[in-house]
Amino acid sequence: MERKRAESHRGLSRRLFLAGGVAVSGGVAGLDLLGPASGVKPAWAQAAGTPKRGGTLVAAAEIDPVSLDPHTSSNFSSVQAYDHIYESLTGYDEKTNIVPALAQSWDISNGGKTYTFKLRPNVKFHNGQTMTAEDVKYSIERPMDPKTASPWRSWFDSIKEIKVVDPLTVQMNLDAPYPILGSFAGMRASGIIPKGLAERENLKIKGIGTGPFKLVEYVPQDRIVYTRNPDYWDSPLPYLDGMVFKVLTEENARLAALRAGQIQYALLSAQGAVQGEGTPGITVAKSPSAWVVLHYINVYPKPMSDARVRRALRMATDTNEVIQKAVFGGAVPSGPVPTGYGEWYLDPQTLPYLKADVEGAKKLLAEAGYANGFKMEIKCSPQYPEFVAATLVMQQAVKKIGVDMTVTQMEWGAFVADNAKSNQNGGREGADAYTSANTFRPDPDGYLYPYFHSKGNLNKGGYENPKLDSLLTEARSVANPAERRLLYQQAQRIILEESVNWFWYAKFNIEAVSSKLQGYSQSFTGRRLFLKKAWLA
Amino acid sequence: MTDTSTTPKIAALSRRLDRTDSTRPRFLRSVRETPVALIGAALVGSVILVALSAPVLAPHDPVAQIAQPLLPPGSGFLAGTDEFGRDELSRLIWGARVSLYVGMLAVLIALTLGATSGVLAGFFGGLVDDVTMRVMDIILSLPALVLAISITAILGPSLTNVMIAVGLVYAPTFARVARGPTLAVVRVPYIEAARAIGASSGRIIARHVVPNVAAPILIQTTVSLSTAILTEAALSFLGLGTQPPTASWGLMLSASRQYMLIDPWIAILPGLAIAVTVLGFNLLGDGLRDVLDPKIRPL
Amino acid sequence: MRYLARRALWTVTALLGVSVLIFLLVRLLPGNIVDIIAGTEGQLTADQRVQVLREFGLDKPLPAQYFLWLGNMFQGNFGWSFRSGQPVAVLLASRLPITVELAVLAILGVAVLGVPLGVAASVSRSLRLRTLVQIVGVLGLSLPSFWIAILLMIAASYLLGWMPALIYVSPLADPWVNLQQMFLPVSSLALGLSAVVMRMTRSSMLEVLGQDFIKVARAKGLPALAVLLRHALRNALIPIVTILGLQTGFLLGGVVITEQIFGLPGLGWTLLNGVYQRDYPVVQGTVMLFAITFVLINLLVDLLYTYLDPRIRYD
Repeated sequence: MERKRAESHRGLSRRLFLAGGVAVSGGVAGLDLLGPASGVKPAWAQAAGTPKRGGTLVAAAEIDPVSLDPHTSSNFSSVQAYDHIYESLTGYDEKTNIVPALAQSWDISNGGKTYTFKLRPNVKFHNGQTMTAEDVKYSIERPMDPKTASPWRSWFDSIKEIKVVDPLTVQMNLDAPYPILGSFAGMRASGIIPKGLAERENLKIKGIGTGPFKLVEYVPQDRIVYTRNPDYWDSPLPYLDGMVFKVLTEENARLAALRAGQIQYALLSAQGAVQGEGTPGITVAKSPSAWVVLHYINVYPKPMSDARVRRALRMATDTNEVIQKAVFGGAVPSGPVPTGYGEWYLDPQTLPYLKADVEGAKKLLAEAGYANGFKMEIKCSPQYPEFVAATLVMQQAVKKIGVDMTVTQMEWGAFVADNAKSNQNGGREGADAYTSANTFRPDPDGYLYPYFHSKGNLNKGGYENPKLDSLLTEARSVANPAERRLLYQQAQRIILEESVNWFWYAKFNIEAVSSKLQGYSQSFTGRRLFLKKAWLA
Repeated sequence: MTDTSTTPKIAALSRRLDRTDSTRPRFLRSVRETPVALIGAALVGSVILVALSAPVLAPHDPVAQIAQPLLPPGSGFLAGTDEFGRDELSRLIWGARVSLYVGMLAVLIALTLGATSGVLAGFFGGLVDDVTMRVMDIILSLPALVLAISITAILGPSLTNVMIAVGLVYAPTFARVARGPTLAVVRVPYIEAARAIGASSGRIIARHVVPNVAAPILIQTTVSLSTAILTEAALSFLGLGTQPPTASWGLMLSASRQYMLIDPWIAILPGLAIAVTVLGFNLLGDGLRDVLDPKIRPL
Repeated sequence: MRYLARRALWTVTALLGVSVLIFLLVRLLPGNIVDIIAGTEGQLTADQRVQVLREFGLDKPLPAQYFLWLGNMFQGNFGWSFRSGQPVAVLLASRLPITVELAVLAILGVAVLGVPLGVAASVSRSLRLRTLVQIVGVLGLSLPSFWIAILLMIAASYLLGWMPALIYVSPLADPWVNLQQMFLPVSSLALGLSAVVMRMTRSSMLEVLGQDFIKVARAKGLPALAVLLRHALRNALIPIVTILGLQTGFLLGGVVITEQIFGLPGLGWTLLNGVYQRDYPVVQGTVMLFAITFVLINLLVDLLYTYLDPRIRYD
């Protein structure tokens, strides 16, 4: 039994690899998981069955959440953890469409500058309190308050005031149209908490929300324990009596726990997926997700200020090779907006530089005046091995066109500080590029404006392109989705042509689910949104 | 051990050695009596040889991604390829260099800082001794990992910086090892007399202390060399040791964690390399201790 | 008594030294809590940064910060974690037992395994046996502990389908479950450490056995086993105890990897995380705890010496 399994693993890995090999020469990795370009196939979901109440899910969290405060935490792992406790005015369905959550309905008036949200009546917080417009006002003003020091404050910049019209109606007046407001759920700091809670409790380790699960305890670096919210507004959900998430950062431990039946759910890497696939009673689910790995390029200094140089470097590197070596084939090529996101993304088949073109790159580089190559530096952190791997592949690739790339690895805290500093001083200090990833943004604007608009606050090195600026500004004020889509597609094409940042892939969301857990669906957002609909058989 | 002492040469040697001053180390016991040292020496010698001849021996560039990743041994790559498609054999060979470098740097620092402090502490005694030993205690109380991370974060993550931190952490051990024999020497009457009449401390240290301290230090060196290699592996596990794409056994081992059931080769081979090298150093140390330690007598 | 007084004085000096060192070291790390909070996808404006710093007391001049921290520590207040807001003392109190249990069990395992093997290796007449024991012993030392840990975990789950309960259970609550949870981590630690002790025991025994008083004891007709255990081993124990003491110190600081692999929320992992997150109070508090423990163990070891070797006296 073991022999066969070992062989099948090896065979599997070889086959996976050969599949990747085929992809290198012809097709594009991972595309079979996407539907037609007009929309993503529904994310992996289990076959329907009859839900059953009861049972406690034991799962593994791959990273410690660090803090459960919905308004001040910046880690994606925090969102993963507090998603079960807090909700926003809107939510997402399995197709990543915006659906009502705490707001039953909303309308937009005044040229996109006034949003009126009608709240759901009789929603109870975990402490028995009923949610009203006052709580909503408090919860949204909290991240806007400079004293809160929320890293997401700038996302709320265009909100001028929040008015409580009546206990179930909240009105927001903006100073300019801001489309993201319509997708409040994805906004990082949008969880609704009872009025005054932040002043009474330490929200980093405690929480009172309206979500399907109540927080029982959070022991940092160890576990998060939830129990069912019997008063949840979307009854009969949830079906589970409770959940326990044990923090296990070592993937081998997660795999061992899955094998031994100690956990019924865990997130895996692509390598882990191969090893987990043979396990009896475990299904490994894979679907595209909004984790885009990219290089933030500092466009201030030479030679990176020259678009031809940036293009040449990108051209010399094979996207599929990066995918194979960074995430073991578990991703699909992507542009600035992650592949698979609604209708905003560019068809990966049409992305430039899918295949390496060393000759073309050499020519381009010579044209820019660097026929003999040059030296450059990219910084990354081994905290995320895939960042390092992607950069190393690039390092090898650009050697062929004479570029000597130093890959400097920094401890994560140092990396974050260095990246921030280089943002703050307009790129006058710091490396030529920084490897990182963008997680889910509630609106394509979030992937583009802050980075590529000349006034964007995350625009490294001060990239300025008037045509791009006008496209992005216009897209913010247009309401018609089809029009917006066109504008964003154009914007993305420009960004790719100018190679302002180097975009590589959108990683698959790979989750191992025990056959005991039923009714679970993956979400493109990468968040574990649908555990509330799952049950234990 | 008893049968070999019947050879006339050894018997004569034993007699001669029995007459020596106990403060002088004994050499020249036949190495035939200590096969462990031989094995150790052979292993260490092989690793050194491989490390020195790496540029010639390795068939490929250890960081060049030249082939299909995760190939098993055979067909052009004797040890297969790793997850990046690099030649595993070349990486193993060049890894020997890193391991030796790692060990030597850490030990050099530990020796320079630790042994010197220990000798000075033992020789001058009093306040010098107290202060030195307290400083050593401070270093020991600081978890090695904190020191390693801090130095890496402050100076930048390079293997050199990390091993400087590790060397610092080994220093107290060397200090203690050096201090003991120094204290013993200092108490010997004619040394005390020499100091009383004003013989220079430097000369006394060089001619009397150092020979006594040499043997234990040598043994500790082999032990620390082996520990340093393991420490590098542990630090690489945490992302603080060697940085990719440099080929180091520790890093190769750490990176192979994700592929243990997919491609066991890249997990086993570096582990074996580490084990063999560390084993070699330890056995050599054991053997040297048997030969050099004046207080050990065979049964 | 005078000895204890002198010892106490130097201990306090050393501990103060550690406190200054860690206080400075942690502030030398590039980046601070503000950068960690902002992350790579969010952003804090300049005034927000200043405000966060003020919130954590990091805007005060360094000496002020140091003495505030020191003063609080003497009153038992180790500050509050920047990341979780929990009192550091509470945090450490909950993590300490796990690491202590890990260390104690590992030392026990090592003593039970390493010492008898070392004694055997020192007295055996068979060259082959001695060589064999030496090599086998050293093998445990030659493999990185994290590798052993992962191999054991994979073997247990793959071959036996076994893995202990994930949430740590205190030995006081359920000793059987706790033992299961500790079994793999302790084994991976003890394997490497027993080799060191084994070799130290062997060489120490050899040293002692070669001395005259052993010959005298044998000449007097004392039974071999008595000579071995009561006279030889007792004297040989001094360096062994030294090593065990040092190892305990290393263990407390060095079990990070084992804790991380097995998901045990102990001090080592807390410390490492604290450094990564630039959580100054946690790092400072944990290191001080280590230092104090280390110093206490050293003291214990030195007092043990006086028991083992009556010739050693400190006054």
